[in-house]
Amino acid sequence: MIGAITYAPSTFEERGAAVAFTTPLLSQTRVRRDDRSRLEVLIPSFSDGHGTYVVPWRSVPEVVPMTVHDRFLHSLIARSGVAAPEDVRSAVLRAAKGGLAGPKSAAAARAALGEDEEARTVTNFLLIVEVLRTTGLDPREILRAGLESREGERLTRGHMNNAAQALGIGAEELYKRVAAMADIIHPVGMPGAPRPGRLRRALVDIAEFRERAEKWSDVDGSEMASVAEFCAKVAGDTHRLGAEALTEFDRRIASLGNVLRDWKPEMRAIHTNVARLTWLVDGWGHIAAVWRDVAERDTHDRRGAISEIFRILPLIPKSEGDRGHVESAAELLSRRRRTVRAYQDWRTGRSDVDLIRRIERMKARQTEREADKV
Amino acid sequence: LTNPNDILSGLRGRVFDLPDAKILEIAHLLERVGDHPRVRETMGTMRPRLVHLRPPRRLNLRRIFCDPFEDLLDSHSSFTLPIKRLDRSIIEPLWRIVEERMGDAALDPLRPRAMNLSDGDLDARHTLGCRLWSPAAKAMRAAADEIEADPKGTSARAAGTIPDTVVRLREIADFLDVGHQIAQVKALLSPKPAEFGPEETGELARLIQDAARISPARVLNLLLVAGSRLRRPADMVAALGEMDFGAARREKPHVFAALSGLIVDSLETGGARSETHDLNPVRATELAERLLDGLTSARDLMDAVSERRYDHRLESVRASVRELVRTQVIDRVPGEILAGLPPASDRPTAPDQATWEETEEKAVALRRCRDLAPELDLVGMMSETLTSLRGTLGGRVAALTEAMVEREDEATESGIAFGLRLMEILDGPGGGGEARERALAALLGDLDGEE
Repeated sequence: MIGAITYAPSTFEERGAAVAFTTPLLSQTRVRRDDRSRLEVLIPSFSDGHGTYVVPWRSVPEVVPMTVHDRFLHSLIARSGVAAPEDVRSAVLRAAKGGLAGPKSAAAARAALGEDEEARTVTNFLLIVEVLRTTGLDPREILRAGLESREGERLTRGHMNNAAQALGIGAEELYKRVAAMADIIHPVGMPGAPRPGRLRRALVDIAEFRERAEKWSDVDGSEMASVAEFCAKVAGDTHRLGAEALTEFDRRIASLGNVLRDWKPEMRAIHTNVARLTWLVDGWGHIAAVWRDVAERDTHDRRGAISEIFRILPLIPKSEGDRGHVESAAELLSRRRRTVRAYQDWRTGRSDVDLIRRIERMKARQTEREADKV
Repeated sequence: LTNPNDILSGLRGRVFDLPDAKILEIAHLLERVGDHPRVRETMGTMRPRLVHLRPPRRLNLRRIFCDPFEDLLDSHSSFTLPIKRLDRSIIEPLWRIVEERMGDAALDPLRPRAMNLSDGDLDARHTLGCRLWSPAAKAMRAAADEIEADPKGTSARAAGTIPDTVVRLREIADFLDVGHQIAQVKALLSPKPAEFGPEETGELARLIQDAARISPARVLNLLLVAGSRLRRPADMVAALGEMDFGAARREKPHVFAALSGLIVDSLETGGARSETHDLNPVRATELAERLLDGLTSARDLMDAVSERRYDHRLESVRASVRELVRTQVIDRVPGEILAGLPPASDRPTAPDQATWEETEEKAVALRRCRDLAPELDLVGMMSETLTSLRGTLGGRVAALTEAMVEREDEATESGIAFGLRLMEILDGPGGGGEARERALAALLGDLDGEE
C-alpha cells in the first residue's frame, strides 16, 4: 500500500475508471495506471474518513477480502491491463454475465451486451444511409427493396460504389471506414437515431440526478443538504461539459463526407470526443441508480445515499477547467465529517451480506438501464 | 337491484385485481357512505393498496381527533410487532361521544377549518388539533365517569360495543392530553418507519420532559407512539435507561414496568403467530429477529428496574422463537438450497432466475439465523448444519468445476457461479478455500487442457 493521498485528479486518466466491484469497501473504487504504467486502485477513506489510499492492483486481494465476483473481475482487469472506462465496462459485463454478481446482474449483462451489438448494427446501417444521402443518392429505394433482401443488398452495393467514387475513395475502403466508425461511435449513436445511444442516455440520467438532488437539498433540513447541493453541482458541471462534447460530436457527424474523406485526423478527433464523453459519464450510472433506489424511501435512507454518493463522486479533473471541486469537497468534508460518516453504512456494522446484495441490486439496475430495459 | 352487501363482498374478493384509479374511486365513494361494518371491512381489505397509493383525503375533525393515537391503530402489515395496538372500530363510537358531549356550538367553528386544511399542512393541523384534543379528552373522561355511574345511560349507548368501554375512553383521553407533544414526536420520527439515533434521543428526551410536566403518567403514551413509528423500537428502548425523564424521574420504574408488560404481551402475540402460521424460512427469520429484538428490549427494561415477574413469560417466547428457527430454517433450508442448485451433468441445465433468487434468499436467512443461534442455544445444531452444508456445497461446486474443465458451457458456468455465491453467502467474502480457487481458475479458463 502506498498510503493516503489527497485526491485531486488533474486528468481523467489520473482520476481513474470506476470499477463496479461488489465488495462494499471497493464499490466504485477507481483503477488507473501509475507512472510506470502498472495498474493501481484508489480506495477512498477506508480508515479515518478522509484521504484516498493508493493500492497496487495486484495487492488488492491481500488488503481486502473480496467477493468471488470481485476476485474474478480483478483477475480479468489484471490480465488485460486496461484502465479506460470502456475496457473496464467490458470486463464488468463479462464477469456479471456468468452469474457471479447474481442472476439479475447476469440477465442484465446479457441484455446490455445484446444492446451493444444491436447499437453497432443500427449505427452501421444509419451511417450507410447517411453516406448515401451525403453523396446525393436516395436510400429510400434500398429500404423499399428490403435491407436483407438480395435486391436490397445489390442496390446497397451499387449505391455504395457510387458513393465511394463521389468521395474519391475505394468501395472496399468505404465499407471498412463505415464499419470502423460504427465500432467507435455506437456508444454515442447517430444524432436523431430512433433510440439514443448509451452515452446520450447516461447524460440524461446525470441531468435527472442533478435536478432531483438539488430539489431534495432545498427541502432537507439536515447538514446533508449542503452535501447534496455539492453533488448536484458536480453533476451539473459534468452534464454541461458532456452536452458540449455531444454538440461537437454531432457537428462532426453532420459533415460525414468530410470525415470519410479526411479520415485519419477527423476520426482521431471523433475518437477523442467519444473517449471524453465516456470518461465524463464514468461512475455516474451507479450514482443515478443509488439515488433512484431511495426515491421512495425515508429521509434516513436518502441522507445515507447522499453520503455514499459523495464518497464516490466523480470530480471533474483540472484539465477540464478548474471548478474548485476538490477544494469544495475537502472543505465540505472537514465541516461535515461527523454527519457524512454517520451515514456511511459500510462502517456501521451492517452485515456484509446485506450490503453486498444491495450493491449487486444497484449494479443490476444500472446495467438494465444501460441496456435500455427500464 | 343488486344487494349492496353483495357488491361489497365481490369488491373485497377482487381488490388486488382492480386498477389503481378504480381503487381510489371506490375509496372516495366509501368515505362518503360513512361508517358501516361492511364499509369498514371493505376499507380494511383495501387499506394495503391505499397506503401504497396515498390518495389525497379530505381532512375532517374526526381525523384530527385521531391524530394523537392513529399510529397505534391496527396495521395492515402482518409482521410488525407494535408494542400496543388499538382496534379501528373504536373510532366511530368515540367520535360520537365527543360530538354529543362537546356539542355543535364548540365544534362548528372548527369544522370548516378542518375541511380547508391541506393534508400536508402539518403545522396548521397541529394548531387546530390543540384546540380540539383537550376538550375532547375532558368529554371522554366525563363520559367514562357517567358510564361507571350509569352503565345503561346515554354515554353507554353512544359507546355501543366498545369492549372495556371505560378503560378505553380513559386510555384515549390520556393520548389526547399530550396531543401537542405527540404531534412533535410524529414530526421528529417522520416518515415511518424512522431510525432512532443520537439526534432523536436528545429530542425525545426534551419532549418527554415536556409531557412529564403535564402528568408523569403521560410519558408512557409518548413512548408508545414513538415506538410505533420506528423501524427498530428496540433502539429507543435501549436508550431509555440513560434518558432524563425530568419531572417524571420518579415515575421511571412504573413507566418501564408498564412498557415491559406491553412488550411481553406483544411478544406473546408474535410468538403465538409463529406457532400457528406455516412460515417460509425468510419470513420465519424476519419474525425471529423482531421477537428477539423485543426480548432484548424487555430484558433491558426489566433489568433497569429489577423486575422479575415477566421472566417466565419471556422464557416461553424465547422457546417459541427457538422452535421457529429450528423447524423453519435450520431443518428446512439446507435441503431446499441443495434442491435449488443443479448438479453436474452431461446435459446441464442452467438454473432459472426465480429459483436462483429464492434459493439465495433462503441461504441469507440461514446465515442471519446463525447470528441468532447463541441467544437461542442453537449454536451446536447450527454449526453442525453449516459444516455439513458447506461440505456438500463444496463437493457440488468441485463436480461442476470438473465438468467445466471437460466441456465449457454456459449452464455449467452458471451452476458454478450459483454454488460459489451460496458458499459466499454462508461464509462471507474470502471463504470457500480450495473449491473456490479451483472454480475461479476454471471460470477464467486457466484449467483448459488439464486432464
